[in-house]
Amino acid sequence: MFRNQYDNDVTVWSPQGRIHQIEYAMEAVKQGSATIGLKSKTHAILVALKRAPSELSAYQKKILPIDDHVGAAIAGLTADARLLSNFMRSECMNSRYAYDQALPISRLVSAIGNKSQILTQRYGRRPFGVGLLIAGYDSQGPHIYQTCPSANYYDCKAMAIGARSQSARTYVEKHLDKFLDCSLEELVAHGLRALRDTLPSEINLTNKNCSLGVVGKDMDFTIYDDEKVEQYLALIEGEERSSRAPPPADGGPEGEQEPMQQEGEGGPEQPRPDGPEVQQPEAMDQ
Amino acid sequence: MASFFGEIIQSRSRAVDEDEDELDCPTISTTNIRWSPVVRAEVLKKPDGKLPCQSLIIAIGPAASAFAQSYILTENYYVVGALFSGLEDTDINTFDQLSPTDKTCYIYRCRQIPDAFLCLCKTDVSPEQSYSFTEQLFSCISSDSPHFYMSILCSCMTSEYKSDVPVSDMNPPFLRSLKTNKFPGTPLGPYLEQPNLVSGLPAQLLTYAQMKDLKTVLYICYTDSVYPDYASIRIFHPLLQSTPIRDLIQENPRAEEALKKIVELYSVQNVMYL
Repeated sequence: MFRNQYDNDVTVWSPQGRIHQIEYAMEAVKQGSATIGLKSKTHAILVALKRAPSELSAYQKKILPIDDHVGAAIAGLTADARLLSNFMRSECMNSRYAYDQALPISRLVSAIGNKSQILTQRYGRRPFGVGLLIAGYDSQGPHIYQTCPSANYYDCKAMAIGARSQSARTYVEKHLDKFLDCSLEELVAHGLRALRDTLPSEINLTNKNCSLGVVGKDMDFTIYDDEKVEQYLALIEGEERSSRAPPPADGGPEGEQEPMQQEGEGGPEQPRPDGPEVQQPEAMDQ
Repeated sequence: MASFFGEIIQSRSRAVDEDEDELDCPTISTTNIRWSPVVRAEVLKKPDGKLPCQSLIIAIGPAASAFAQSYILTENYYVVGALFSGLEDTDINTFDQLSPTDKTCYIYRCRQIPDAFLCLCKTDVSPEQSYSFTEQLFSCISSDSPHFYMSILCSCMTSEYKSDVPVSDMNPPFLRSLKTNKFPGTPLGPYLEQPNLVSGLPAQLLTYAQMKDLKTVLYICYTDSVYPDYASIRIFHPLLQSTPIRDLIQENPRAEEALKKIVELYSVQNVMYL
């Protein structure tokens, strides 16, 4: 992905058949902090990492309630997320008013997809720069959906988006079989462990940087912040991190060299000579 | 003008204002360097008018500067000079050098190792100014020693990285390296693959080093995060064992604390993306 003459407008195709503006918009999601969605047979949950706010301002919310049966976690441009959440709320409200029933999650998500698609095809507009993880419970059971700036949406068994979310996705893929039969506490514990994997080793999950949303069969969408999330953090307290977590900075020199070396490269740096230089055969090839 | 769908779109006027032709082209300002009085006095005594130097580390950009500030800079370093290039009136600088908006380029020297210099460049040095930056830097620092080593640290966004493997599969941030012919040994990181290029000030410094036959290595960190975070700063950590940085490293128990402060400073700035 790099600058070219076909990336100024969302209405311009490149000769390879790509629309670069949409691809660039997907990068905006990676600038947001990590958020993870998981579901079992009875519940759907969202866990999210909150960014440290300025000391002068209040926290920006990462998990937004939409209706009693659905909530969303955001990653990307905050303002776009606000607009989309208002849209979702009004769609849900209209459904309750017109049909006296909760809006099925799949219909909500397809409405978002249709709204997002318009922006990818009209001159002078830009795609939304936000990805959503939507957790909901309807007559079909619990759901986790992911939406993208590309206007695509995906029905997921579990998903993680945002910065460094690859580590979380790896954790989730490893434990995917266990989620369906989990109790709520076990599911939340898995979510928090996956979230912890996105953090560098000296940062821990605390009630300040972590947010949790839960919806279930007999449970309206509820957000847990600050003290309320403590009880769930206690579930994973004292556990060792998985080996996929990034190595600590204080690791010994031997430990640090390993990620850097590749086949055919490397070897220790030559010691600085006091006398004549030691010429090494230089490996210029890749 | 109306589009195909009937909506009104503002169209830009292509009429050129005649007054615009009278505007002068903006002149490109050159880099200025200022040395401390101690250094100026010392330089006067030298036959070549330059400070002897064996190790020069240049950290360019916020991530590399944050790494150097946390892990290399200790109380044993003191400021001996500053380079001024491309500063606007609107640029704000703090005295403590702890603000993300600081646009300064200070040259530090180690008290215990007087021939070791560290340059932290937090300014946006444009490609047009890179040559005068390099010239000014070496106007007072001698690279004539046969044991002179230079290490250039810089960073770039992964969106600039070209490869047939999708960048997300490469697990950013990651390090790549380049070196001059005279640099013995192998850098602690894979070489930068074609067709990728390093440009701007780091490229100017490396080119200068190659022309002057200096032993120089360049490390570039490709990161996907707009603001420096733990991962993109710590990716430089293995370089503490590389030449010439390992000769400058001293006991630094405050490194992690300093790093934490810097990351927190930048994370507070990052409020557009949640």
